[in-house]
Parts: sequence; structure tokens; C-alpha cells
Amino acid sequence: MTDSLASIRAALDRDGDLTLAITGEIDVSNAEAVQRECVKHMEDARRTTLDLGDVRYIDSAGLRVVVALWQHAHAAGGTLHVAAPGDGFVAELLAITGLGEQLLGPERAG
Amino acid sequence: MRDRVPRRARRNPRSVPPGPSPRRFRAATLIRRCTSPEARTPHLRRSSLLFCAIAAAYAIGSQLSASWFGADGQTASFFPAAGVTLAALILLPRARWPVVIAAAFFAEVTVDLINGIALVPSLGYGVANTVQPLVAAALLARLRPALDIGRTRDLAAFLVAGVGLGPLVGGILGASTFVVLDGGDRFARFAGEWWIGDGLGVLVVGGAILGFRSAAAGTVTRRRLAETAGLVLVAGLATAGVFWLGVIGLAYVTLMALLASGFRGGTRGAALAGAAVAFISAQAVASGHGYLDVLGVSPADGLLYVQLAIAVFLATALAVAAEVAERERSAGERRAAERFRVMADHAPAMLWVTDRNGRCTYLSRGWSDFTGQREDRGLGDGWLEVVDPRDAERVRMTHEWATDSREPFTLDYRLRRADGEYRRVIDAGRPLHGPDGDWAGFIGSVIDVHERSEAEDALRTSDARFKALFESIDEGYCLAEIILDGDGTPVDYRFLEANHLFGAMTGLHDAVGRRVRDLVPDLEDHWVQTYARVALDGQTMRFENGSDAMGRWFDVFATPVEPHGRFALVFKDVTQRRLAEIGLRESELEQRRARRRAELLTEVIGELEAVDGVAGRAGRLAELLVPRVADAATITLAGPDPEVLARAPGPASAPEPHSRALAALETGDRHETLLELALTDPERRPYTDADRAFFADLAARAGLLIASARVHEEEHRVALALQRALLPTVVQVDPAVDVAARYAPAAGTLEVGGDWYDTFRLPDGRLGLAVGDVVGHGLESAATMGRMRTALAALAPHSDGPGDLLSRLQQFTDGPSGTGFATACYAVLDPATGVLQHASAGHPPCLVVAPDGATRWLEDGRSVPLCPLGRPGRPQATTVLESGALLIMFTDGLVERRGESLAMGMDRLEAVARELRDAPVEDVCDAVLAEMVGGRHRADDVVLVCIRFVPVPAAAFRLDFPAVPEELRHVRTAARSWLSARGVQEPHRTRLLVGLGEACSNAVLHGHRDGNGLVHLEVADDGGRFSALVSDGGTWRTPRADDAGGGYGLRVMRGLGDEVIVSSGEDGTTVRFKMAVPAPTA
Repeated sequence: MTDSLASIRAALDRDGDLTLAITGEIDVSNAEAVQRECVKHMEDARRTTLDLGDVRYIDSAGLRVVVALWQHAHAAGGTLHVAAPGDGFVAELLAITGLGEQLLGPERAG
Repeated sequence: MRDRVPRRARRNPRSVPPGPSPRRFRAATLIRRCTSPEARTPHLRRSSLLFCAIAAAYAIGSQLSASWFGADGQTASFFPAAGVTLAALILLPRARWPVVIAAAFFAEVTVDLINGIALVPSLGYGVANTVQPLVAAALLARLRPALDIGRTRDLAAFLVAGVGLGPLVGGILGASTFVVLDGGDRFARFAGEWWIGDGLGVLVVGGAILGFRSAAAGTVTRRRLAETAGLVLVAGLATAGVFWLGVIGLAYVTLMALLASGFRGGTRGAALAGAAVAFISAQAVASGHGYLDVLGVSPADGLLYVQLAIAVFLATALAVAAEVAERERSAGERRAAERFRVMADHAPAMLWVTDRNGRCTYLSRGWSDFTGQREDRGLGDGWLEVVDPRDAERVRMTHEWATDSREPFTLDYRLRRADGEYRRVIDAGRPLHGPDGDWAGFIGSVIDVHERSEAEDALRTSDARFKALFESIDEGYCLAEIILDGDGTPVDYRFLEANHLFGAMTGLHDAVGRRVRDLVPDLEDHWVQTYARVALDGQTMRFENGSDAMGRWFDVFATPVEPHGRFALVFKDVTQRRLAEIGLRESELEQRRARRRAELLTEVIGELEAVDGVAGRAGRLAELLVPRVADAATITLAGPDPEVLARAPGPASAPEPHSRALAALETGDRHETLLELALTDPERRPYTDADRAFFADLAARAGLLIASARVHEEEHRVALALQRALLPTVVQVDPAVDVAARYAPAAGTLEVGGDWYDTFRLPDGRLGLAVGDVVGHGLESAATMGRMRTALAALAPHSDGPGDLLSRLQQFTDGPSGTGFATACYAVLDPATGVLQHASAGHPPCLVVAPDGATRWLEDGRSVPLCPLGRPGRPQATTVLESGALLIMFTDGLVERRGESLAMGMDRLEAVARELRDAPVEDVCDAVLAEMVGGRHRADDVVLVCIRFVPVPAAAFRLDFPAVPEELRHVRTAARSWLSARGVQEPHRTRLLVGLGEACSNAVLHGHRDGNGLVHLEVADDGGRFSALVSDGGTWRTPRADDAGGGYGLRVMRGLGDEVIVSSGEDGTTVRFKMAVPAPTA
């Protein structure tokens, strides 16, 4: 995806493990587009890792996108977890909103 | 037999009889080749034609000789070709000689080869036949340039060098070739025969050709022509008689006819007769009709004698012709000299002639009459005695210089008159050339200019007129005869002679032989009548008169000459002098008055233009007129309620005037404006009609200026209001910059310029900065300015940068009059980085002052001014503003000052700005204006915009932004930049941004549902405790049940911040958000 604000890199391996790495910013102006783009990549994925480690800005509109993607993955019988540095603001936001336990990956959940 | 075969015979062996066909064939080939299209340039074509002509003539002459003498082994052949070459060399300029030589060489070698001579000796004969004329021609060119065999000295030179020496050289070379290369012997005999044959050829053919162009040939009358033809016929017949009839006595007839043709037919006649005799005798001898056996000499010797005899006869005839011509000429010159002397002695001017040594050889009677000096005393250097001793040395030096340089000269000095008074004269000398064209001294005239000197002193100061005066002293001359009608009444005159000045002075060219009425059909009759009196009644007249038909004035001296009915005129064109005199004769008083009036008029116009406003101009007018043309002046606006606009000398009551003048000022007002002038001083002359006419003129002109002041005042008011209304009130568009702007209208004038500026924020968060200047003044340019500003702001978000924007802007410069022309400078500043893109269309460059005082002009990204027809694709450039840098944009009025270059003004601005670099921008604006244009008469409007780039902003950050989602990213950019500047580090900066972002995002999404309106953001930093305020016109959006995962926004804010207060009212919703950030670790 090439939005002036955010860009998404997708990597799918043979086992159906998908990594979606989002860089840039997600706000209300591009949330829908980001969500649409990610859903497209997740079609063949069983396990999805959403890497938000390089996101520069994300707000509640972005968090709604993450929740929507989690729901999408589970509805399709897959899994999704978010990868973000434990001391970063993304992790903090997930914690504030109570989404952390549900979304963060096992390796970072602690 | 071999040694008996002469060289010409060898060129034409019997085995190859000469025939006309091959000759003609060759000539045709030659001509075809030479006139082929290869000859491209005219020069080349001329050279080719010349080559063909000479080669053909030479070949014919040579072949003729061969055909006469080659067949029967005669010796001493008459060789006409030699004359062709030499005559061609003499007649043609040296640059053409190579062509002549090449042609002769080519023809000689070709004829030789045709006639069976081997190549090597042929080349040898070719050399001999070309060196021969070359030697002779070079010698003649040195001895007698412009050779004319009608002159005895030139004829002698021709005989010695051309006929004698040249062929001798040729003979030696030819004989050498004959003996060495051609296997012949008897060198001396061969050389002698060559010499005589070629000498005769030169004499006969060369003499004939040269004789025809001799100046001594004179005018050809029909009688002369018949006479000459007769004599040539007689000479030819007599010659034929000698040879064919064997009557040797007829040779005397030939001799007499030759001499007679020299007498009567001139050089041409002699040359023609000689040629006839030579060709006929050659033909006769060649065909075996000789009287040689009668004389008992060998045929070879006989031919030699015959040819020698013909040569002598011919030379004698030519000498006679030359002598006769010379005598005629000198007689003509004597007659001309006599006529000149008569004219000169009768002419009023003093004429003189000097010889080659500068000594005076002639002084006209006018000189003796004027100076009282006898001619014989004045000759030599004696004339200097009557020159004022104060001038004598200068005069003598000038004459000496002129004699050395042979240049015309003009002198003015004082000359003693017979009564002892020194009179101012003008003496002009012109080089005099003898009949042979050699410089022979000077002829000159002296004119007494004392009478005119007072008037001409004034003229003298004007160089052009002074020259005109000098030019007028060359005199024209003509001889004419009166034409009478059937009744004996003079009706016309015909010009018989005229000098070269005649045409120049009268404008009549090729007048000789024509009637004056043909030349000037509407010539005034009095000229004919006047000259008739001179010619028929024998009166000598001197008068000055003008001819309207010719548009000139002449000072004419007319005198009768023999025979009756003829007259001579010596005259000069005095039109220039006459015009000057007419001007000077104007009454001094009238002139002075006219000058005063003209000066007053000029002054009034100049003074009024310098004053603004109706009242100002009216007042100034009244002041200017008193006391010069009036003791009191009043300007009144008439109407039901008259209003006094101006009064001089003020309101003080004045005595009753004795004379008044009233004039209307055309001010274009509904009511008439009147100028009333009054004279109260009884000493002053009452107003005349001329005065009143002048006042009417003055009032009309002054009225226009007052009217224009009225129009301007009106227009100025409107335009200024319009301009002020159109210029923006600067708002703080971004926390990263401080902006201040000033508009200063031109001081002291009513004009309003089209200067403008604008600052605005682009959707991407960058700032647009523009200044511009619409050329022109007044309403129209103010309107154009408004249009340009609007267009710029509207197009800015949609352009690819400053250069592109300026390209798009040019179509808006077209004003109502269709002559729009504007300059503009536009820059885009990224407040986060300081990156500044800029472009200028004919506008002065912007100035950047760095915090350390370094200055730079933004000279790049420049293009031509904006006009409707300008081209797209304007360049732009980029620079980066340092933190704290000052950017100064302005219009040219700031740096332009009368008597100072733009560069000097820019230097001053640079210095002033450097001093002020740390001051707040508002202060910078005021100080720069004061320093640059303060306290001066501003000729132009000034716009000044000062921008400081401050990435370390004040503790508060304020931003109003449109309520659209796409704006949010720009808000974050600006806020991030501000937070960075405040020293807030990660992750706190992003945490703060997220908190602010949630508030702004909600305001955008729900505060303004209709999508237009502004969101106000304000953030304050109180030592790391940040408090934000976001307000909009809507209500806070509460979480809704159907919003999956919704309500995060408020939770995020509350989770991040220390305090979140949402207050919703009728005017909208305000969110207050507080968050403390730990102090940055140093």
C-alpha cells in the first residue's frame, strides 16, 4: 500500500504465516484504507503477525483497525497478534485500552 | 633551308596549311569553356570573359601573322598580337594582369602547338611573348600613369617603352628560345626581326586601341568622322596602289594621308590610317605583290624596310596628332583662364591663386580694390603685409600647412582695408589641379564678413551654423544664353556651362544644354527678366534673391559675356545665412517677450506637476503669475456660490486695478474656473490683445493640470481604499514563523501602486509567502493586484511549486487595458525543516539574514516578469533557513532611490537588515522602512514582509485548521515540530501527539458535521506541564453501543493525560487536556 501517510509490507511463508509490517501513521483519514489493504493480504494466512514496531503514530481510529483485523482473522479460523516493543507507545495504548492481553503476541505479552 | 625558316613559319609549317575552320572551332571551344556555368561569381565571370576575349584576339592576331608570312618564308613578320597584349595591360588595372598574361600565354602556346612546334619551344615562345608586354607595361605604368598617347610626353614614352624596349626584350628571349630550344641559329637576325615585327604590331594595333580612348580624341562631329574616313581610305588605296600597281610615287600620297589624318582625325585618325596601311602592305607583301624587285633588294630586306618605313610614318602621324591636340587644349585652357580672370576681376569676392610652392601668383582686382594693395605687390608673400599682424603668423602657418598637405582650408582673420580699418574676413582655399590632373597649388576666395560679424557672432557659437556659413562661400558658376520668342521677348534661358558646385547649389543636375524652364517649370519670371537685362542690355548686376520654386536664396553676380545674348553667373547659396539673418532681424523686444512667455509657460507646467491636489495647484499657479504678469491673481470656481480657490498676493486688499484680464481654466468641473489677472501698478503697461491671447493659452494648459489633479485625487482615494482593503492583515500562520508586513504608499503623490503581499498556510502545513508589484498606478493596477493575490492563494495548493505557480499566474496579469505586466516573488516554507522553495518573476530577490549575521540574496529561481503572453515552465530554487534566520521580501520601492543604482539600494538593505537581525519582526519592519525610505520623498509604493523562522517557538502553540480529516496529519506535523522545539523527547512527544490527535480527530469528525469551519487548537507549555485546548462548533461525540471497540478515543486521552475535561455547549465542544512530561535528560 502506498499512502502518503502509511505503508504496508506483507510477507507470507509456506506455512501460511503472514507478517504485515506497517510503517508511518494511522489516523481517521486513512484507517479504512489500511484496514482494507490488510484484509486483502490476510486471505491466505493462517497465522498473522501485525508488526506495529515502526508505526510513528496511531490513535483510537488505528486501534479500531487492529481490533477489526483480529476479529477478521479469528472469524476465518486463523490467529492474529500484534508485535510491538514493550516499552513503546503502541504497547502503552493497547494496555490503556485493555486490548494488550488479547492482541499482543506471546513473546511480548510479558 | 632550315635557317631561312623564320620563327613564325616554324609555327605554321607548310605541311599544315592554315584554314579558317580549325581556328573557328578552337575559338568556339574556348568560348564555350569559358562561359560555362562554372563561372559562378560575377568576378570569376568577368575574369573568364576577359580571358576569352584576349586569348581570342591574340590568337587571331598571331594566326593572321602566321598566315601572311608563314606560307612563303618571308622574314620580319608584322605581329599584331603583340599590340593586343600590351594595350590590354595598359588599359586594365594591375589586378587583371594575371588574366591577360595567362590568356596571351595560353593563346601563344596553343597556336604554336597547332602549327606543329614542339611543346618545349612553344612554352619558350609563350614566355617571351608575355614577358615582353609585361616589361613594357610595368615601365609605362611607372613613367606615365594614366597613359594617354594624345599627349606628346605620353606618346614618347609609349614609343620608347612599348614599341622599342618591350619588343627588344621579347626578341632576345624569343631568339634564345629559337636557338637553344628550337634548334635554330642566327640569333641576331631572329631577334631583330622579332623586334621590328612586334614593334610594328604594338605601334599599329596597340596605338589604334589606345588612340581610341585618348582624351585628345575630343568630341566627334559628323564632319570630322567623314574627313577621317576619307583620309583612311586614301591612305589605304594609295598603299594598295604602291604594291599592286607598282606605282612607287603613290607612297607619298600614303605619307601625306597619314600625316593629314594625324592633323584632322587626331590620334584616332592617325591610328586608323596607320593600321590600314600596315595591314594592306602586310597582305600585299605576303601575297607576293612587291615593288621589292623594282628596288633590287632581297624580299626579306624589302619587307624589313617597308615595315620600318610604316613604323616611322605612323609614329610621325601620331606625334602630329598629339601635338595638335595639345595645342588645342592649351588654347582652350588659355581661353578658360582668360574667362576666369574676367569673371574673377568683376566678381565682388577677392580671389587668389598660389603655385605649388605656396607663393601667390594671382590676386583678383577685388583684392586691390579692397586692400588698396597693387596686385604685383601682393604676389609671392606680399599679401601678408595687409593681414593684421596679430593674425599674420597664424595665417602664414595655415597656408604652409595647406601647401604641404594639399588639403582644403578655411581661415578667418582681419584684413586691412584701403582706409586702414581692419575688417574681419573669411579666406577659403581649395586645391587647384592642372589639366594633367596634377596638383598645381590653391585657389581661394576672401570674403569680407565684418558687416555681418555682429549678427554672426551669435551664429558662430553654433557650430552647425558656422559650418553652413563656410560651406556657402564656395561659389557656383554657370554660363547661359537667353532664349527669345518670335516677338523678341525673353522667355527662357539655356545653360551652356556649369561648374560642379552649380548642381549642388541649385539642385539642378545635368543642366548643361537644357532650358531652365524644363528644369524648373514654375520658375519665377523675374529671373528670366533680370538675366535678359544682363544679357541683352549689357548690365552687370549683383543681387540677392530667393526662388520659391527652388526653395533657396542666392547671392548672384551676373555679367554679360560675348556673344550677345549670353550671360555668366557667379553665385552662392545663401539660404542658410538668409534664414539666420531673418531670425536675427526679429525685433529684440519681441524676442525677449516671447522667450519670457515661453519660459513662464514651461515653469508653470513644471511647477504645477510637482504639486498635488486641486487647491495646491491653483495656489501655485497664482503665486507664479504674480508679479511677473500681474499685480494680483485670483482663481475662482464660478457658479451660484462662487468659491475662491486661490489668490495672490493673499487676501490683503489691493488698490483698484487699471487693467484686467480674464481667462477660463479648463478644469473639467461642472462650473467654470476663472483666472483673473489685474494690474494695479500704474507704471505697468496695460494688457494687450497679445497678452490676453497668451493668458488664454496659459489658462488652458494650467487648467488641464488642475483638472488632472482633481481626477487623480478622486481616483487616489478610491484606489488607496481598495488597496488597503485588498491587502491581508497578517495572521500568525504557523508557530514556526513570525511574520510582519508593511504597506507604505508612495509619499507626496496621489498615485497608488499595485504592490501587494500575502501569507497563507498550505494544506500540507507549509507556508506560502508572496510579494508582488503590478506595474502601473491607480485604480486599474490596484484591481489587477487584487485579482493576482486571489489567484495566487487559490492556485497555490494545486501547483507543483513556486515556479509552476508563477507560470499559472501570468494569465491574471492582463488588465482591462490589455497591457498587464507584473512582478512577483513566491516562496514556500516548510516550518518543520526550514526548507524554502522560492521563485521570482522579474521581482527583486529576497534577502536572508542568518542569526550569525551572514546575509544572502535568493538570486536563483528567477524568470522574466509576468505578462499574459509569458511562457510556462518557470524555474524555482531551494534553500534552507537556519533556525532564527530572517527572511525579507519586498517590492522595488524599498531599494530604489533616485540617483542611486539598485545594487546600492540592495547593499544598504543588507547592512540595515544585518544590524536588525535580532529584533522582533514588527520592529525590523519599522526600522527597515525608516532606514530605507523614511523621511524621503518616496517615489513608489513599498511593500515589506519580514519573516523569522523560529523552530524554537514561544511556550504557546496555536493553530486554526479546517475541519477535514486530511488536515490532521498537518496539524500533527506542526505540533510535532513545536514539541521537538520545546525539547520534548520520545516517547513522550508521540504520547502527547496521540492525546492531542484524539481531541482534534473527534473535533473534525463530529464537531463540524457539515465539513466546513475551523478547529482551534491551542497548546501551552508550562515547564513541561502541557495543557491543550481544542474547541469546535459541535458536540462531543459520546461512545455508541454499535461502535465495535468504540469509545477508545476518550479512554486513550484519559489513559495518557493527567486531566481531560470535555465541556459541550451551544457554541460547540471544548476539550481540555493536560499532561506532564518529565524534564529532558541532559
